[in-house]
Formats: sequence, C-alpha cells, structure tokens
Amino acid sequence: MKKPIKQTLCMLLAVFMCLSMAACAGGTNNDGAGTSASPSAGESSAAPGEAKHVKNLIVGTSDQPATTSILSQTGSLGKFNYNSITYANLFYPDENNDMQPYFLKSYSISQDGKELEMTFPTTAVWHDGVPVTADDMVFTFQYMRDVMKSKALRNLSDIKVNGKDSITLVFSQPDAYFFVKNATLTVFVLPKHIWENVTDYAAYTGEDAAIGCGPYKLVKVDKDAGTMSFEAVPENAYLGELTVDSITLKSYSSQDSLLMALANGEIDVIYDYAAPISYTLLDVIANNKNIDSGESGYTGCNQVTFGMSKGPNTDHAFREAAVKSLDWKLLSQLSNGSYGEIPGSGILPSACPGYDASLWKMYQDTDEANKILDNAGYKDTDGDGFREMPDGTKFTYKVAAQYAQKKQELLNRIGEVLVSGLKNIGINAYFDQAALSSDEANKSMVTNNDYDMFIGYTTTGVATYRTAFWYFLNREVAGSGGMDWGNSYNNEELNKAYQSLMAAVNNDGYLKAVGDLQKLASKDLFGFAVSWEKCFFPYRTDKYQGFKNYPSIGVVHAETFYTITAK
Amino acid sequence: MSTEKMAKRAGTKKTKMNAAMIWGAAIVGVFVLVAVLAPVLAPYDPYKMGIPYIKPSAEHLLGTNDVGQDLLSELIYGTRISLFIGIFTSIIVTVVSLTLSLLSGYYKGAIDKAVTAITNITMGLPDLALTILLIAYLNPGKLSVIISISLTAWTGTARILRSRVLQLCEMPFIKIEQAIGMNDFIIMIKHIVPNLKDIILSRAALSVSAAMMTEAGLSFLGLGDFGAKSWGTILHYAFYQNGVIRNYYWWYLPPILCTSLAVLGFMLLGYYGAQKAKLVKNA
Repeated sequence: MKKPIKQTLCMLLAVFMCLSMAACAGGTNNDGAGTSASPSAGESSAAPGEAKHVKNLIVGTSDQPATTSILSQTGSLGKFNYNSITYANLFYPDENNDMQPYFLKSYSISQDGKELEMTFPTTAVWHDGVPVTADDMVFTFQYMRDVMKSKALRNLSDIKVNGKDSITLVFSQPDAYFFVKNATLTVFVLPKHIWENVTDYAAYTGEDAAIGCGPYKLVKVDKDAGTMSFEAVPENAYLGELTVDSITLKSYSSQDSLLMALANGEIDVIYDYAAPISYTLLDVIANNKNIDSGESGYTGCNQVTFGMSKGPNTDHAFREAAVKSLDWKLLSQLSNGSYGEIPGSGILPSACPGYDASLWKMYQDTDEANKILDNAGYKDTDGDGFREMPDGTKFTYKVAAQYAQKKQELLNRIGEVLVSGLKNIGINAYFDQAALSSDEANKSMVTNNDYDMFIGYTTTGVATYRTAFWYFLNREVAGSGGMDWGNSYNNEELNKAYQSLMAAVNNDGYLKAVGDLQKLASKDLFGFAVSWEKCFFPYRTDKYQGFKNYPSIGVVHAETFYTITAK
Repeated sequence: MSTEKMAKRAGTKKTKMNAAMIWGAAIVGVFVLVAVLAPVLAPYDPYKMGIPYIKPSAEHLLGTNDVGQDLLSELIYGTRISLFIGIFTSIIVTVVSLTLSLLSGYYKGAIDKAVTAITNITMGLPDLALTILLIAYLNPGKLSVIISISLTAWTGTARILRSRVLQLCEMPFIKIEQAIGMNDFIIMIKHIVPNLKDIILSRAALSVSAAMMTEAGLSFLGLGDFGAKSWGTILHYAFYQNGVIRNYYWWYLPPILCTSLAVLGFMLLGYYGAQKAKLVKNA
C-alpha cells in the first residue's frame, strides 16, 4: 500500500510544481517590449464610443508617506498635492509656465497691480460633503495672511465679496501679479468649518485635516506598504472631465528601485518633486520600448554663492579668477552626464522664462586666472604653495554645501571639484565637512556668513517665478521676501532689481527684471550656476496615451488627470 | 623553581607558525607594503581629476570614477586609510580592554563588579547604531571614526582577558609574588601581561579586521572621513552613481575584494591564538 501512496503524493507534488511554475511565468513581464504591462499596474474601463477612462493610475515616488494634512508639504502626499489632488490650487502653470485658473473659473489683475478679482465655481464640494462657499474663500485669505503669515499676502488690505461666486483681493502694494505667479503650488481654498478653530496649523493632524476640495479624495493610507489611494470626486473636476478614476501613490526607498518598478510595470509613471531621475539610471530603461525617458529642459540648477562679507571674495578680480579656475566640463558632466551644459554667466538656465542667451558662457582658463590674481596682488610670498592676500596675510578658503538629504553626494562632489580647481591656482581651499553634520549646523554656518563658497540648489518651484536669484539675496533686505537664511551679499543694485521682479504687474515687467538680474550676475559674478541640465521623469507608454511632458515637471501635473486615456 | 620559570610554564610553548598564520601574515604583509609604498605604486595622484567614467584601459587599469580620478590609485591609497583606522582602533581596543581586565581580574571585589557591569551594559548597546550616532555628533575625520568604533568594540576582548587574569591570579607564582610583597603594577606588567600575549595578539588581529569592516561600512553609508580615500568611500560613490546597476564592476568590485582579503588576512593571523591553545591542550 505504501508505494502507491508515495507515487500519488509525488504525482500531486509534480502537478503542483508545474502549476506554480506556469503561474510564476505568467506573472513575470519585465522587458515590456512588445507585451502588455504587468497585471499589477493600473487598469482601464470605458463604455463603447467614450474615451477610455484610466481605472487606476499608479504613480511612484521616492518620498515616504507622512501626514495627510492639506497644509503640510512634507512626505509623499505633501509633494503630490502640488498637482491639485486632495486640494485644489487656485492656479496652475501650463506648458509655457503661464498661470491658468484651476479652481478659479477666471481671474483678472487691475492695471495698477493692486487688485485681483477671482470668480470661482459654486458646485464644488469638500470631501465631507459640505459645499464650498464664498465664506471659505474669504476665510482662506484671512487665514493665510493672519495665521500662516504668507509673505505673498503681507500687503493684503481688504477682501471684497462681489457675490456668491466672486471676490476681490485688495493689496496696499502692487502685489497681485506676484501673488498669482507665486501661488503655483500651494495656494488653495481651505474649508472654514475645519480650520477656523485651528491656530497651530502645522501641528494639526486630525483626520479632517485631509479634507479638501480637490478632484481626488484620500480613501486609504497604508504606511507600512507605502501606499495611498485616491478616488475621483466628479463634482470637483475643474478642468473638464476627469479621465482617471482613481490613483494609487506608491513610495519607494530610492530612485533605482523606483525606476525598476517602472521597468517591471509595477507603476505607470514617476512623480518626484524637484528630484528628476538621475542620468546615471537611464541605462536601466534605455532599451525598453514601452518607457519614455520624459526628457525636458530643467529650470532648476545647482548654484554657488560667494560669501561676500569678508576675505578675498569682496574683490571682483578674485571672484573672476575663481570662476575661471574651475573645470566647467567636469562640473556639467558630474551633474548631468552628457546632457549637462556649461552654464552662462547669467545663472538662469535656458529653460527659464526671460533667459538671456547673449551673456558669456563660463570657461576654464587657469593661466588667465593666475594672471588676474597676480595682477590683483594675490601672490605666494612665503613660498608655501598658496597665495596670500594683497597685504600679505594668509587665508584659507572654505567651500561648503547645503544640507540636502536627496542630493548630498552630488553637492559634496561638486565641492571637491571646486576645491580642486581653486587649488590649481594656488588658493588654499578646503571642503568643510562640519557643516554637513546636521541641518541646524548648516543653517547656522550660512546665517553667520561663515563660508567663502556655498553650494546650494534651486528647485523648480522657486525657479518658476522667484528664480535662482532668490538664493543670492540678503536676508535683511527689507520687503524683499528673501530666503529665511539668505546670504551675505547686500548689494543695492541687486536688491533693486529683485524688488522690480517682485513688483512686476505683468509679464513684460517680470521678464525685464529677470533680464536685468542676469546681466547683473554676469557683470558682478556674485555667484554662478554649476551647470544647466536636462531632467528626466520617465513614464510608461504602453497602456495610456495623452501624457504631456511639461518642462521641469514631467508628465504628472494638474492637467494629467483630465487628458490621459487608456489605449 | 623560580617564579619566573613558573610564570613561563603558565604561558604556552613556542611553536612554529601554522599554514593559516603564514597565509594571514603574507596577505597582511602585502597590504602593509602597498600602504607604505602607495606614492610609488600609484600611477596617478588619487585626487587628480580628469575624464569621468573611463573604462579599464592600459592608461587607467581600473578606469576612472565619476570625477575622473584613477580608481587604481584610489584603491592603493585607500589601503592606507583602511589599515590606519583598523590598526589604530585595534590598539585602542586592546589597551582599553587590557587595562580594564587587569584591574578587574587582579583586584576583584568592587572594581571587578564595576568593570563587569560596564562591560555588560556596553555589550547591551546596539554598537552600529551607537557608532553612527557618535559619528554624526563628533567632528568629521579619521579620529572620530576610530573613537566611535572603539567605544563599543573593547567588550569582547575585555571579557576574555578578565577570565584569563582571574585564572592567572590563582596560580602559585602570582600568589608567591603577592606574598613577598611585590608591587601590584610590577606583577601585572611583568608576570600577568606576558601570559596574556597570545590572547591579546589574536584578539588584536581580529579587532583590526572588525574595525576595517566597520570603517568600510560607515564610509559606504557616507559617514566616514569625507576627504579620505578609503575603500568604503570608493564603494560609496560607486553605489551613489549607480555603478552596480550600470555594471561598472571595475569600480565597485576591487574595494570589496580588498576589504574581504585584508579582513581574511587579519582573521588568519588571529589563528595564532587558536593554534597555541591547541598545543597547550595537547601538551
């Protein structure tokens, strides 16, 4: 009896193993060439004759789930919300970076730039079912000005209610244009019934903090799995019909795992705010016909600020020599491989509005740099291999980098290249490690002006309107709205030019100010861009169509959820 | 029989080196030579930048990294840092554990209880987490790495040495020395320490390898000495620039092999003590 039982068991085991193998083979679909994506990725549905809706779009990010509050910009939802997901931005930038109404039906700025009239829909609902009203609109701007201390609304003097679907913001200064341009990512309507009693908005984490009037409602958060699920709210479809029925936001620990997930069909598209996929990872998707690299010109850049409060940097000749000592080809390759471009002296990349192509480009000329330093009196008088100040005093030159979790290695490497170039012309430069021990140590160094060269970066959000020049302003410049921990350059011409940018009441005024700032940067050399770059936000092309790749942003933006359809 | 002779008998017999030790000594010897002769052996200045991502060629035998530095030169100079940190950490660990074990095993009583308690508490600490925490708060540099690793690495050696000291203190030659009123310090240095040398040497060799591994790990995580060219740092940048995904094996494989080989060399040297123990047992 024993033998037949054994044989039967073996047979059953063999059948089970065959079935398992078949099932595994069916579930594996890695290259994507000529085949459909993995069954785990999003699906589509449609009635005959209609555009096929995307049933579930799966978006991958390297940010991790954190708070779900609409007033938090941290974590995966904080960044994803820039695209109007659970909240509805008043405006959004289109392909040409022009501000278009999103939640608003229309807006207009008065001739003097002091009034902003807005009309809004009366059909929108909060995700708890309460209708959005003019009261909410008025409350939003009061809350932003009085509780959130929004710099863009610091001159808001009055809010006029014109009717149930229209209000006008009145500013004491011509700030309306500045407000609109600056409101790209995080100015949205707040539900009065939730936030009116909340004073510490940053600390508030109640469940209702997730309620907005965006086109998608947060329905599930699984922090362990790193996923968030959203469902469409048809009443809040502000740009037409929502073609994506639901969204899943999946978090991955790193960019390489994110890209692998895209290649395997686990996700449909990558969204990583201000963190395009590194050019070093493009090989992973190079031969995959179903993935588009999502290449576009990048408006952000890594930039270097000269510490201008003391030492040799106060001398233009020294700054010019320092700039000419650098290996620009290596710097551009380091940041962006073969896609990197040696930057111009006007700092702003060619992808930015108002870019001035006529300004001279950076170049390396060690002989010329040495000559400039010799002529300016920076000579090695004691024969130790390093130059002294014109008065003979010795000096060291501190190169430091911003504390930045996602791109620390790159900034450090840039620091190494800068130090190497400076040493080549006899400057006793070193890269400061101490400032990298913590964010606090880093900020303290900057606020104390304790650096000679500081490597930082401009994100897309800042580059869009405020530009990289935001980071060159002195923090004490009255009314400039300069960055909180700014730098040591307090130059009247720069301050005036930047104030003109912020006081612009139309595109022409804005573009002129941007042009003036670039010319000033080229002339004064108070800082420089490290390289100009292309950015990559890859996405799958085998299942959905209608993606629009916006420069610097990628294919995930406010319009995406109204334009993509299933193939 | 004199106490000197008794002391010698308490120790171990002189032996020939075993095969493992010979291999270990050879490997370590090669690495020490490479470290000492780095300026002669390295084809380029490891800090000199050039064309990035050159594949292995006659000009650059291991290619270049992301800022155009010659990888072979980096690897050769990396030997210095890795050995320096490994050996210095081992010296600190050995001195600390020897001191504590002598005090603990010789004086017993409250001192022994205190040292044992400190050892137990330190052993209970998560060493890697503590090392990372310390590195983050100390000023960056080689010294910080050495201190951070040493702080928790001494416990194992201290515990073994204490047992041996306790054992030795019960032996007649120590009792006689104590009875004739010999100074405690002299007894410890002249009669106890020589009888601990086998344990000290084998544990020291193992400490070097452990410290080298920890240093490589810390540097790989980006917590090492930033400007230094260590094997862990080479690996760190290879991973950061996605060298593994891009299959740049000439970038990431050599530091892994060097670390493994050097650790193996020191571990084989550590067999010195094991061989002695075996011989004592057989005798």
